[in-house]
Amino acid sequence: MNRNLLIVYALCGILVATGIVYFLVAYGEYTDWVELLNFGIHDETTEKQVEITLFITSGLIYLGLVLWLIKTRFMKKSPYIAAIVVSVALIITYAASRTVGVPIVGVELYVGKLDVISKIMQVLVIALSIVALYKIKRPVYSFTK
Amino acid sequence: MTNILQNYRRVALFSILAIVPLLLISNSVISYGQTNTTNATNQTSTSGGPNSGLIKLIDSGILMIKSGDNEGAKKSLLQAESGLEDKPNVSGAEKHIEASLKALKDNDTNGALTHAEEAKKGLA
Repeated sequence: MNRNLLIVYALCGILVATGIVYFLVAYGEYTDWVELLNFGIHDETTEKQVEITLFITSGLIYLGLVLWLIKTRFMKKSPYIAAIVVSVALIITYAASRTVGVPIVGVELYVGKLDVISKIMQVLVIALSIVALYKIKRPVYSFTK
Repeated sequence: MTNILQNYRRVALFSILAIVPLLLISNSVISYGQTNTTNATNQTSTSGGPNSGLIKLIDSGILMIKSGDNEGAKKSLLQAESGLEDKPNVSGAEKHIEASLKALKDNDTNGALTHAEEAKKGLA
């Protein structure tokens, strides 16, 4: 298999996995929310709703990026740039949520397994997207068979 | 069209390849920042004070975590969190209880204990 294609397929695989991780995190937040409600705790409702919406949206964006890459046959720069921008934005948001705090949610104190896994995958997404962008600068035919 | 279908197949294959290690790792990755467990359980006084009931609940949660009863600990901590509702002056303690609950969910006993202890300190 062409080495360039290997890079973009690996990128797509990691994008899908990252999307799935975000759906798992959203599901975890949903179960937490239900538990809190069962105990009569309602002051977390807005925070949980914001978090669940953010995680589901992030998951959908990652899956959308894969479809976009496939539709453009991996040859346009824009989906790679979008993948980098989205990943950087989510990493910054996460870092802010663990340090200075973010609106509505405030400061979260726990760094979970899925958090670490998703951040590692986002760094991989950024790295592979940069490599793919660099390769795209070269003649386009090297990206096709 | 055939090319796109082939691309979809390859992407599906690589997605599976990316997900398998993810599942394997998810049970072995150690969570960061929750390793310094202290033994302050017996150091905080639980008698008197406006939050003594809540501290008792957290204490019982800590004992249950130590004995391996994560479900019982979760209930105690949730009860403590319920008692902290509408008390913005102790929101730090509430955040620590939430962190402790998340750590319990991740089977991170050290993290759960550390955050429960911190919650207690915030209420003392």
